Amino acid sequence: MQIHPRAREYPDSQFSRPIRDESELTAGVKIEPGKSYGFFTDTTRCIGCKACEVACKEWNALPADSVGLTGMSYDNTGGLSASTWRHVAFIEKIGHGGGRATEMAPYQSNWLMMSDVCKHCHNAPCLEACPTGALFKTEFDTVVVQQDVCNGCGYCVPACPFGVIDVNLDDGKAHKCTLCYDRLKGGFEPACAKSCPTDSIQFGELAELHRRAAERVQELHRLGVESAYLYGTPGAPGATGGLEYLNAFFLLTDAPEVYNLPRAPTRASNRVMPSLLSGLATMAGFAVAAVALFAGASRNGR
Amino acid sequence: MKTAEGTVLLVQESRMKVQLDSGASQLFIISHKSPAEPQELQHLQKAQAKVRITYEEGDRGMYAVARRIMEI
Repeated sequence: MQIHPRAREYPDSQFSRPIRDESELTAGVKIEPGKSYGFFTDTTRCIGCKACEVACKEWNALPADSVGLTGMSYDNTGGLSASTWRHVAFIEKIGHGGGRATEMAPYQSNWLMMSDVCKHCHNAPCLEACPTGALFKTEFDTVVVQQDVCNGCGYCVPACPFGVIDVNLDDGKAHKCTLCYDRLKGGFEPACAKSCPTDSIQFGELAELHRRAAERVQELHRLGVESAYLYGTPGAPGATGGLEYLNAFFLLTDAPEVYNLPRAPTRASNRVMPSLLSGLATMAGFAVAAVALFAGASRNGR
Repeated sequence: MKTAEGTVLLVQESRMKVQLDSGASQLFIISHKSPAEPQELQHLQKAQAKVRITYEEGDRGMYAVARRIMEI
């Protein structure tokens, strides 16, 4: 394991002030405005510890939103919401194909685990739908809701093809992952990526993450996991329908639907023109029919 | 509605963590019915201000909904 040369400048375990450009030591990347940053979530490395969920809630002061049992395996948050910006999905693959499982291969994990998050889409549909400009692209190429501008109209909620953004009915504002915008401005790695013990969540510059992800897919293929593929990189599943690419992308080993991800997400704005044209065509059809009926009726009346 | 007094420890968007005088820590979400706006909370955190909060229990999670915040 390589240790960053700057780490030697900090031999103590307690600090009187934050470390300058700490992300250089924790994630190997210096955070600078004007560059594109994102997450690479490698689901084959996720152990379902939920450290990311806890770190996210702790840093962002998000409340626990369900304290009961969901009945969904070890999943206690159920999904992404206004107060859960990281969600660890547990998918148990026993008895797949409709049949009841009678035996299991030894020493094989039958679990798929994935830490879901806002995808910070390149062409973000939530941002396109926002009438007040509360949703904006930051200097780090991430998508954030400005709380003082958000009027809680909720147009962004159905516009998101991944079902990420949500409105809190108590404060009347839309909320979602900010990719720790405040931490990035201070030179810190996002809380979820920093807390991930297996580096399933990796933070970094997008080009570097794409390179790392492609290498990891090749490595998995070499190891016999032929099903490994990327979701959300340019040209891959998840980067469809005009989204171009996702700043938070995933390495999956099963169909996207298994992870509760859409196979071919699209921008809501793609459907505006066809809807408008079909509406106009319908109106024109009704008008022609009405004219024909009135013309026929007036002829019969004579 | 209940009232509590404490010190503002942390503010994120429209949420704030308050160390109550009883010693417990409580998370408050600013109600959309409150005259306070999220951007007005920042100075409370910077000043570690002592506040009196009128609130009701949140029914969608483990938090309280602040209706009125007064710096004391």
